Amino acid sequence: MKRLALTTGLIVAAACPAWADDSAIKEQTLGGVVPNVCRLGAVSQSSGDNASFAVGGASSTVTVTTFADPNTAQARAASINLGIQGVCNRSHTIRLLSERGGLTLDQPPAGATPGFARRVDYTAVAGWPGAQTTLTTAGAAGAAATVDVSGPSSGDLLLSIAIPSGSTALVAGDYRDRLTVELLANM
Amino acid sequence: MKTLLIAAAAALAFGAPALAASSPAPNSNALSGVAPTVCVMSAPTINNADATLVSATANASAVQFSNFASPANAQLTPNQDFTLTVQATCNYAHSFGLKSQNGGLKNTTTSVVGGSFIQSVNYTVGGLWGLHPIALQTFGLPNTKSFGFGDVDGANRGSVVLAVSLNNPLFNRPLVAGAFTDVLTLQLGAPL
Repeated sequence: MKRLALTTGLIVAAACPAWADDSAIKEQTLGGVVPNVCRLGAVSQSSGDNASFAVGGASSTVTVTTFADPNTAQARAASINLGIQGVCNRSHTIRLLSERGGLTLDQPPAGATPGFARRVDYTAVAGWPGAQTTLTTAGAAGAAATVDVSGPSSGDLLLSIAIPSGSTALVAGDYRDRLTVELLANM
Repeated sequence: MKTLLIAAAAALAFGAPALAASSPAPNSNALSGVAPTVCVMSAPTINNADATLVSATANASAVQFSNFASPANAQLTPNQDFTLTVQATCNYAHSFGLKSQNGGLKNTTTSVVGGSFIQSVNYTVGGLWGLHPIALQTFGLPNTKSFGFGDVDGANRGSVVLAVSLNNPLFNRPLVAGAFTDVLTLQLGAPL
């Protein structure tokens, strides 16, 4: 009887291997991390009125052709539309920053100049897929406008700058501001 | 009497007739054992500077590409590859297979607002187990399996070598920021 039992056991084992699914499984997690990248590249002009554009290195220059009426010294309207190649591969913020808070005199006169203006305000609009922000200067240095973008975006950032015509004569001199456009990765 | 008692004890031990000294029955002894079907693998080793083995056990490991994308423009670093080697033993006819869970290295957590970004990076794996080559090519489809000569008709022992190469994209576009991951399963034994 003992021998018979052993034989039966062998038949069962051969017909239906108890460990047939004894597989070795190894899972490799493959990974790579992409760093945050926000870049602004080449700037191009799409249109303009009474304004011209010159490409620089990291910065470009917009010059108003006829800044003030030669007869009244009042500011003339001007506008320009620029395209800036940009990419930001995560959620980010667009920021427009005016250094002087408007076009102001490089060398303002020491005394008061009643009846004359020393600053020309302007409006800058930045348009980007899914977002837009507008900065209107009013004399406050460091004035900024921001807008959050919830995810990656790329393409041309459209920047429109408009200077309205003025009604007050301007003090003679060179007027200037630095408008900074930033793409800031949100951490 | 003493002799008779010893003979009886011996007969019992073989499971044969109780009184061997008085019976001519054949003394047949069936000795048997069952070797279980087993496939085992060791922890892998890696060979290439493009990637780092950040953890490794017999069952799971993690490989991280060291410079997956450019910090300047977020584009995929070209020509990244590495080789994994696993020592393995399989004592029965078995299958050798690979499976990609995501169908590529993917970032599934980021929603693009505008423009064109890469969120999936395909890769190729060439696998060799003894004389049995297989390959896996991802195309973005989850649970993509390998193809080739994965049916092994007997026991095998030695190295499983997996050569993993990231596919350079057809068009250079930035990758979305963050982690790109996939789980590559290597199985010896039952078919995947």
